[in-house]
Amino acid sequence: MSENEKIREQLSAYLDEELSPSERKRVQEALDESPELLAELDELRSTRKLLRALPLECADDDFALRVMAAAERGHLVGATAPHEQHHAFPWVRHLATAAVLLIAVGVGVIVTVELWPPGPPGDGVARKQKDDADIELARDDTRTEKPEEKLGKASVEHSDVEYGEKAGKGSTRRISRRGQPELPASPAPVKPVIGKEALDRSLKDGKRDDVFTKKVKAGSSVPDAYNEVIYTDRLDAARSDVAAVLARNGIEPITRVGSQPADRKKLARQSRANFYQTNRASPRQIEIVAFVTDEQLIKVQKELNAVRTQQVVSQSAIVPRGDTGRSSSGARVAGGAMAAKSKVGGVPAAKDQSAAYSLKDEPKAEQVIAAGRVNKLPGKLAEGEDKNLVAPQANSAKSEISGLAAEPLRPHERGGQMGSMSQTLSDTESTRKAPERARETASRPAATSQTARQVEGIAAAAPLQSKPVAQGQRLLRERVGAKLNTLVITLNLRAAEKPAAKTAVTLDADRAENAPTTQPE
Amino acid sequence: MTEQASNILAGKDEPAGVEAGPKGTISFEDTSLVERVRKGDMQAYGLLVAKYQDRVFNLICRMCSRRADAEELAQETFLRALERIRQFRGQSGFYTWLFRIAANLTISHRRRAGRVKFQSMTASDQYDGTQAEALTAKMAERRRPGPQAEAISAENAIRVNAALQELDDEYRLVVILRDVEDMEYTKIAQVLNVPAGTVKSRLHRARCILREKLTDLVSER
Repeated sequence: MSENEKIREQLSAYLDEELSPSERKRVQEALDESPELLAELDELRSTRKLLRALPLECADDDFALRVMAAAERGHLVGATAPHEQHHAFPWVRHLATAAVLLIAVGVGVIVTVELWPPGPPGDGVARKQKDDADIELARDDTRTEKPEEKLGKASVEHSDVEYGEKAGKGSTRRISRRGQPELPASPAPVKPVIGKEALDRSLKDGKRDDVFTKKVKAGSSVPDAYNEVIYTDRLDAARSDVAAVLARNGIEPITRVGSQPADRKKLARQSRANFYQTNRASPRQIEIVAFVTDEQLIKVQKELNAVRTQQVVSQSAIVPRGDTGRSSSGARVAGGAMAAKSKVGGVPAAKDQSAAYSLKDEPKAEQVIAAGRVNKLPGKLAEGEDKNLVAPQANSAKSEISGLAAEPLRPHERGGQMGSMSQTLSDTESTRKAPERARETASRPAATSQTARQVEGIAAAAPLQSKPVAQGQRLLRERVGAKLNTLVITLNLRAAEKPAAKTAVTLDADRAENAPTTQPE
Repeated sequence: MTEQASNILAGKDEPAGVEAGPKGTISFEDTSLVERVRKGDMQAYGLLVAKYQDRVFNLICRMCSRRADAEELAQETFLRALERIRQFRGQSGFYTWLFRIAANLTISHRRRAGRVKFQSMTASDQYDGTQAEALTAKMAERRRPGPQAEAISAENAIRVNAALQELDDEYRLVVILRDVEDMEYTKIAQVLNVPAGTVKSRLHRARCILREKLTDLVSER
């Protein structure tokens, strides 16, 4: 831009006296030297005069009234006063916003944790299907409720009551693993005494002091709860087996401590590790409450299935007709045991053994049960990685050797109602492989009684502490970075054999009708 | 509230210590009025509306030729200002802030409605002379007497207004704020949120365009 153009650009500002003194002087000198610029300045001045001569457009006389009326209609009148308060205390608003956000995040985390129970990768979907099916079955169940079903419901109910006090409302979604009564006998086992009922009893007799009572009292944080129910004819032996399982997984029994500061420090040291405590709820029932991590939970549950299988096998000869296992897990384990028995006894297993091999992730346990071998298992198990299966496998093998009579599976033993619903997909693959498995297990030698004795020795060596900690102590102390779950293992003493019920006849008839036409080898 | 505003505007319920002059020349300090509005005193806002209603309306009327639209936009300007009065920090004058709201609303309105051509009231336009004459007469009646206003005829005013409407928004707004509202460059820069140098160049460019469009009127003076 030339100097002349710069001067022209500044003519309007010169006219409006908006130039700095130096600029104004420079423009003035240019105007003195150039008549052309001076003429242009005059034209700009005339133009400005025309613009300034424009008449002023005035609003109507009632304009202000209309504005105020519109403000009143729009609820703007008086709306400025509260805002002044916010200006006076802006931190209050920010604090409130932060609090709301924190609450929202907290609720979201709680909901996420509660709705998505911990489990191994890939197990969430199957578990959710199982839980949903269980819930649906419980809702639609129109059959006559049996004692074991009552027990199963009781297991869920006590958890709802217990944890509902924390959450405000009970939710079955909190229980990711329901109680798994299987092949029980009548009369009905003693109902687990925990939760609010336990609190009432504790307050009543002043003697019982279980962990749930303490939790209700202390109001401590509540972890996820998992229930495992095992029926056995030898309560102490089953307790030893469970204790061994827990010990192998690094879950130690809690020792008795007092209320002294030193005892509290001792408890604090123990609480850093995962622990469990055992309560004898009644002569017919033992309750073991363990606080475990997710990883421990998976392993323990897997081994407890084997323990449960052991108990089932040992009692399979007196399995009453008409008993219905509500839990698919327990039933499928039972089915696996029954299938193995059928091979050992030389009696063909039931044609509809789909549920017997439905436990896709536990073929080793079934194989061990069938073959009674501990040291020659395929894969990792054979290499001794999974030592946890030794005790139940050996015991189940021992039970098998003792000469159990094979008996075809009944429809209601195939996982109960679950057999026809959530397990359909998972059973397909297992059903296809069932003949091969049966053929494979039949060729394996039986376990020796020496191995069984060794295993029993290991189980017996596990310490057992039946007394909880001192009154008022807060049991649950989470490790840093670890999420502890509550695993409630209920051991119920099985009663004498119950004669076949009337419903069993019906179910047996159903089995005959639904029996497949092909039989496994 | 409407009655209260009416009383305020009629001077019946004026706060103590505040003197109200003739309409358009209210001598309230904007800062104190705004402070009172923030505290919920709607009477103070009624005074602010009465003080700036004509200037805001004139600004909008020069930007968009439709009077009805100008009234609506002016009303919306005051309502928007009341709604956001707590956002006014006092870093600039209240009227500067108010004009900025009015300018933004008007520009947005024009952009939404598309390029609104000035409805020329000259004989060459589609409107008949009767309508133009009536509007011209009305404008003449509303004309506030002044030395410059007396020096321009209604016909010339229409021509100048037509030329003004043909400018782009950025040029027209600068010219109106400067030559109609007699606003300083720095204030214009605040209203438009542009540097003062931009105001200077835009204003010169706008005047040059108007000079070319109004050559005959300019040469007469």
